[in-house]
Amino acid sequence: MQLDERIDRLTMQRYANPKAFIAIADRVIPWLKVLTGLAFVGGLYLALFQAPADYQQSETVRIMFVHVPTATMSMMVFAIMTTSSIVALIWGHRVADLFARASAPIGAAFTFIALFSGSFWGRPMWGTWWEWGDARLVSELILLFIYFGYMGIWQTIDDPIKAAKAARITAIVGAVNLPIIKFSVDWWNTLHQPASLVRMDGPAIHESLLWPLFAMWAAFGLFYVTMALIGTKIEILRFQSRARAMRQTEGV
Amino acid sequence: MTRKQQRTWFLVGGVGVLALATVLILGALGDSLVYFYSPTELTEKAIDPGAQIRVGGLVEEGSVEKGEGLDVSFVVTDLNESVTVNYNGLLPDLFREGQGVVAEGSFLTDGQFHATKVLAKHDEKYMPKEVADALKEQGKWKADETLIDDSVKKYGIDDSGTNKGYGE
Amino acid sequence: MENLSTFLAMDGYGTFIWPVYGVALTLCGVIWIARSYTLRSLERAQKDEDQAT
Repeated sequence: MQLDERIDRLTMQRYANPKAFIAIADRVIPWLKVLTGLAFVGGLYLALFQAPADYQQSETVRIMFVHVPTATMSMMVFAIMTTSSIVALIWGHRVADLFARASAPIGAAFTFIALFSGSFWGRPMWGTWWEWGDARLVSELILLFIYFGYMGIWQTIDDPIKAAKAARITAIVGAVNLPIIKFSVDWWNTLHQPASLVRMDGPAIHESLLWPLFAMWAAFGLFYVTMALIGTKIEILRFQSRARAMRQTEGV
Repeated sequence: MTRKQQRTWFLVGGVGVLALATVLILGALGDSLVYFYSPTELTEKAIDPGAQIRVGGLVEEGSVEKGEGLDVSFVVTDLNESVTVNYNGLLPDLFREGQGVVAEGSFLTDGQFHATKVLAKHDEKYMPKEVADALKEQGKWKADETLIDDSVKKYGIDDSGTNKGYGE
Repeated sequence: MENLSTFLAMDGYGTFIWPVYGVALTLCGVIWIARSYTLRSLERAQKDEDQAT
């Protein structure tokens, strides 16, 4: 056996093994559920009661506490799906495919919430629900369609091996949209404001508005991890019961 | 080569081609991805009267004049060049002097810009009112720099970060 | 009571703020309940199958 293959076995096999995955998931899911719930309670309290009104936007700044975490998570989730798909493509790991599959609906939900909250902020502040000419807005909408396409592949292709192959390629090709979304506000003039947190002079958000934002980030982030683990376990169990049913009908 | 190595090279090659294609497509789309032009860009471009365009910049301090009914005019500037905008309609809540704005419409033959839509542009700053007031008092207030022309940014901003001849 | 209505009004922006929180929490809640329910029924089905064999 070649050395690199041996290393693969040691590091990857453990997580690729569905039994090991379920054992770990079963241990952490109850805790993650509690943490997610607490983060949402704390985050909502800070966002709705503690955060001050903004000097320009008044109370509508509270929309940012939903918009910014879901918008960044919508890209982050897709990046995780792409990574997972690359792992599945190179090492051929089933669980990595199923993890990407379980992530997609949550990423799509985040994308929808980001678009919806952006629109409801844009109407009173910018003076428009939607602008087709804005590169940030349109590239985020394209992300939603890519999520739908990815989910559609798993739904429409019956053979799980073929579906996984098509889904991996979609997740890898779809990733080209991520830098476009992220840097659209720097590359082109947009109505959408540039990044507030990751910038040369440090964050342009005052502390009193930063903590509620971080708390909501934690809440949506934990929500994603929890739901992705539950979703992956669901996919594994479905896969196993399907395999069992096939074995029974073939009488093996 | 093992199968795994083959797959890896296939992946690297595929991603490389994809990235190149994306860069070429985005480069070809060029200007159509730009949402608005600055007043400086507009004077360089010499836009025909009647052509639909968007101009973006800062609302010049003290330039807003309300006319009859919903008539309003104001000057959009990037501190290098400026454009006078005439508009009849409701202004968004964020529309303020010294803040970003995008006006959609066309130039009339007399060189004035007639807007059919005015949108406010928000910068990346978020803070409570007291903090903003304190910054203004200390003279540390900065206008939205993304809307200021590069030529002015080089010469017009002093060490403290405030714009000479601009602001409060 | 007056405090509550001022809070809900959100300086006149309540009609924009509350739908955002409503949609976000409803969507997350639906995913949470649907996934927990699906997992429980799958686990139950698996247990039944294990006992049958």
